[in-house]
Amino acid sequence: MENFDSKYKMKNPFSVPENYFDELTGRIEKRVIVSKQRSKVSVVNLVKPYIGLVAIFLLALLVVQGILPHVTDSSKMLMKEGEQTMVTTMEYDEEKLEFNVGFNPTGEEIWEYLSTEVDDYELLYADLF
Amino acid sequence: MEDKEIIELFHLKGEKEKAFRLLVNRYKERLYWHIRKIVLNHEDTDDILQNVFVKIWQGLSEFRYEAKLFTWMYRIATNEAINFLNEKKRKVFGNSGEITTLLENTLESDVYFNGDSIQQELQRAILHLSERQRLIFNMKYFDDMSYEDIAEVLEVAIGTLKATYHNAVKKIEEYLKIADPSF
Repeated sequence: MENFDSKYKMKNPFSVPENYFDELTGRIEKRVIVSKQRSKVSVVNLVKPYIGLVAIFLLALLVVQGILPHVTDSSKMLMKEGEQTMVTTMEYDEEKLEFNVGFNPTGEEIWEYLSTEVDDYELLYADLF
Repeated sequence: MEDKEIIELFHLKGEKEKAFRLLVNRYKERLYWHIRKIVLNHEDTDDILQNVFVKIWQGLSEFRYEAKLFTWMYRIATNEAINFLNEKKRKVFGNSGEITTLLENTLESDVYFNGDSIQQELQRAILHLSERQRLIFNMKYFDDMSYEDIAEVLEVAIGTLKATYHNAVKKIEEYLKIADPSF
């Protein structure tokens, strides 16, 4: 390592143009100013496309809030009716279930029920199998 | 004026530019030579150095002394230089090709390289190190940085640094022995 140091250390084989370091500070300051201006412009450029989108969104919001409230109300009413129908059906089913719990038909009653609800062909088919 | 005082000045209203100028004047040469030893070419170094100071300007208001100011700036400079080299390699060679080849070509064509044949051989030997070995060798051997400071710049454990530096020196000596048997 000593041989190495004596041969190579303290010698800088690289050089720079004349007065390079004297002018460097000024050039760096200029570059910083340019970057500041660029970053301002780039913020505007970044926001620009979104301004249009925001405008469209606000317009759409205005239409929904101002022009379509009646349409919205009628659809709400329809929905309410639908909900009511469903609730009524459910209540009806529950009543039917309560009725069915104590129901214990005899074989004859079943046959009578089937002969009113099922047609002759179906009965014939049932006899075959 | 201490680095800390420069930072305090930077945070004062209307004093930013003055503080930044002090910082540039204090560190421009050290950072220049650090970058130059990584990328070798003067024009590239000049461009990278200016970018580095732009980044320093942008990041200085967020700087919180979790590291020393100069190791923080060294880290920015190192990253910028390495990114530049990778980008240049990609442009010149595509995805294949070695940074060593790129730097050897740069060294040969650099008009601001005045080294004699011995210096040229040393630079060639350094180019045959791995990227990390090269960085550590340059910072330790030429910039006389402490292992603690290099560890802060590269975010590597000190033990690893010492081993890497030792291996780098051995590799360079071996390379030079082959190139110059009188070494």
